[in-house]
Amino acid sequence: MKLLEKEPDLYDSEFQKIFPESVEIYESLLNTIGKKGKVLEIGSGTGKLAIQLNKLGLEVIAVDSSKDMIEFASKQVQSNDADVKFFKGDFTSHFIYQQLETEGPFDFIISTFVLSELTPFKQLLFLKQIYNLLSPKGQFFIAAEIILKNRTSKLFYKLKQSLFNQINIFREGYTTYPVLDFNEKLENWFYSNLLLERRNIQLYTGTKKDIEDRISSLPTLESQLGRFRWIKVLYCILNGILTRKSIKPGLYIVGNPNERSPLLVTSNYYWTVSAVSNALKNSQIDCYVLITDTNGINVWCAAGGGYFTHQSIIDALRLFDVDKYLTHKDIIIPQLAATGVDRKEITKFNWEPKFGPININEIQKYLVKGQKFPSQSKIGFNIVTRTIMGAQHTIFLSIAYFLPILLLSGILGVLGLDQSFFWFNIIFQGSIIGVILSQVFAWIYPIFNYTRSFFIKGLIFGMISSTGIILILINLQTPFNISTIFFWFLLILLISLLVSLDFAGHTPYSNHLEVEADLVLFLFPAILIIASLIVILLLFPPVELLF
Amino acid sequence: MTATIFQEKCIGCEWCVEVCPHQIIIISEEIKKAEIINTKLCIECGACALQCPVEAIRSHPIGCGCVSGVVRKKINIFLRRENPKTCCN
Repeated sequence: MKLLEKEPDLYDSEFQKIFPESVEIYESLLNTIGKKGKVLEIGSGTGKLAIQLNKLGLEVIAVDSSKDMIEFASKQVQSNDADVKFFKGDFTSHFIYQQLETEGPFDFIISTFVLSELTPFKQLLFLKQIYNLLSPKGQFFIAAEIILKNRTSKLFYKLKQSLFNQINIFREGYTTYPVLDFNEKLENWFYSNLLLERRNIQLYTGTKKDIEDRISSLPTLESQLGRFRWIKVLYCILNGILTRKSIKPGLYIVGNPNERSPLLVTSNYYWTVSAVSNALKNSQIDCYVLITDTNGINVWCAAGGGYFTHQSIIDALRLFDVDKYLTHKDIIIPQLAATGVDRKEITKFNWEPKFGPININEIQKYLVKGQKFPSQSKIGFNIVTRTIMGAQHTIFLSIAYFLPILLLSGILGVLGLDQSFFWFNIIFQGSIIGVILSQVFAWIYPIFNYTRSFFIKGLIFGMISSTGIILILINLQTPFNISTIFFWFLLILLISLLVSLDFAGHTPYSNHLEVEADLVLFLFPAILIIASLIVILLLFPPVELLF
Repeated sequence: MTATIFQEKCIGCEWCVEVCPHQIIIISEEIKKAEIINTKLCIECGACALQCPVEAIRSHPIGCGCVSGVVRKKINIFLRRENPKTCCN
């Protein structure tokens, strides 16, 4: 839909091609809706429905996030001699909500094909805001693309999403989120009934439930982590970069908190949540933990990448009614989130944000003292962290670089290409060296940390490792010929450069601009080395295997 | 490249001191203003600049540097995408 929004005049006809059901949905909606009252349309698009609603005699207020669409719709409204009031912005944002609150309450709220454009977390916020904006007897109409309730559809959707996530690491794409368990989501706030169902499109209508303003009991953080925790954590450690194992965002309890207990905020990456849960349990702290939607990414990366922001915290505070559970307004935010979370923005909503210790294990000392020591604000990179990061990086390298090349050369070998056995062996031995070097570099990292440039770190590491490996092997085995020595020296140098440069993001010492410069620097020796490897192979054979 | 502190704007509130993950910002004794003591360790994560209430710190706006993030940024520029998300993961 996002792509269509660039060309408003084609939008309706193109949209109908994708969803031919939309005609039926609009018809059924217009037949069911009342003839009097105030209506809010979320995602008004070209304004077609808004104009028709206005012609029925309803007072129409419309929201859309696209500027182009609103401009187009305003023209349509004028030429049709209708009267529609437009708001530009994201319906789930607090800013638009406040504006709409002064316009409301509404007798009808309509939204077609918007819900499935939002992430599952935002879908809940969307429905909750509709609940708040409806008048007591008000009626909603929501049409959305859903995931059908059979196993194959769910499985197919999961496969599609995981594939998308894999591609998304390298190439930012755009995806929709068909609604899972639409009816159950609506049941949280509404009495709903299905008005129309075609293919995977559903149109629901309904009215507000009388939700008492009482505090419901909250689930424990422990229950969200489920069974076989250590296996899941191990999975995160080993495959952390390639997949995002996440926890459902929400407000959870640890121990037996009361209304004066502290409130902690964290990201929804499984490993992060597990670490927080362990630390809190070990120090026997009773508290609330608010898990925000950070797309299954850890605190620092999510904050740096724009997923863990003040906006995501404010959204979570609003959706889960956090203020109902507390008499105070203090929120403890992880210090590393300071890259993305603007403290001033949260203060505007009457909360008092504080940045907690950098390491969750220091949380008890912090809560007792009520303030931080400078040492609790400083990031460490000790041997345990380095081992884990090294392992994570090594597995990433193997899956992303080594295995595909190995597989390719294997396939070429099966096809019976000349010398493919020799090539397969070279790549195999290179990969093994790469895996070992990657882990070793992580362990001895502090030696190289006197310089900031990861290119220089890699170059020094490469010189040492390639000389070292060749000297050891010369001593162990029969002497190699000179071209073999040169070939492997250069190849190991190249692998070390790649391995150490790629490790930058796993350390707390990498600087965006410098990594950028290092990557450009890396290209020159890389091309030079690859060229010389080819020259050695062609002009000075034979090149022997290393082991 | 490192973050830059414009001391004439600084009000000495110490927020940047608290959030710096490498603890390289201090409030100088004489003038009670923030300064970076070890620029070599600055990774330009942007935390100090974001928290500063008077916009006295300038830092590269993109978070911490990881290779896939940088590569992705390059690809996005190459493909001329609008508003590319930049993230390590």
